[in-house]
Amino acid sequence: MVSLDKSEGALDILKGKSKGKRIAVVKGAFSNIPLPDESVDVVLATWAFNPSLPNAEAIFGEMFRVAKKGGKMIIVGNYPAGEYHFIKNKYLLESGTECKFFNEWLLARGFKRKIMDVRVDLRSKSNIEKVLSGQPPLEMIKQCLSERNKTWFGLRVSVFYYKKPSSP
Amino acid sequence: MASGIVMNSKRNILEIGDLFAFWESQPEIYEILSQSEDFDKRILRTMMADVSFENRIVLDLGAGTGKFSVLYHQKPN
Repeated sequence: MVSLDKSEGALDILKGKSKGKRIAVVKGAFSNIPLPDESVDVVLATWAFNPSLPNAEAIFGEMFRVAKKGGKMIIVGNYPAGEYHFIKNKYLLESGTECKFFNEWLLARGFKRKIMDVRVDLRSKSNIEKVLSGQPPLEMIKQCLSERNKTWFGLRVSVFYYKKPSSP
Repeated sequence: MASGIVMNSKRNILEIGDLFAFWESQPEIYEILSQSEDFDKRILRTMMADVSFENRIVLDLGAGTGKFSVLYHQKPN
């Protein structure tokens, strides 16, 4: 496993977790992945991308470059429906434009999609206060959870799959 | 309009992806969020059923605090 991120703070936490495991922690940018061509069997990206996909061609070009022939890519992102979007709409906020773009962009490039509903469960009021404070989308969810007296909300997600061709 | 949130009109807001800069500055808080995502491991189970990770070189792009990197080492319960 090669775990790549650009955030030193996050990687410091990951380094602590990865002790004794076969995980190489690497700092780097998505648009300049510090790995050789065709060196990876599976490229994963779980909620890794801004759904408006800035610099998308460079990033996906890099993913394609490092994947071996016949290698797989799996990308997880939000689907433009489900409870999370319902909450945003409830509070009179337009929702889903970027998310819809993200989904359509990947489908147009040959990715196959599975849609599923999952839970984001913060488990305690203390965690809700820590995580869902200070930014408008998060404050909305915090308020909704408080009104419903629960610690979780539903999130509809898209799991995208792509297999790099074995021959050019 | 729910109390406690002041919004003047319908407008675009940040998607979760646009919050990355916010999370990047607060990795300890991000870690709590990360552990809450896919709480019932549905995504993990689906991916591991669809794609073999065993003896594969896997790149976890945007690994963050490593929630999924660590889970890929274990079979989900």
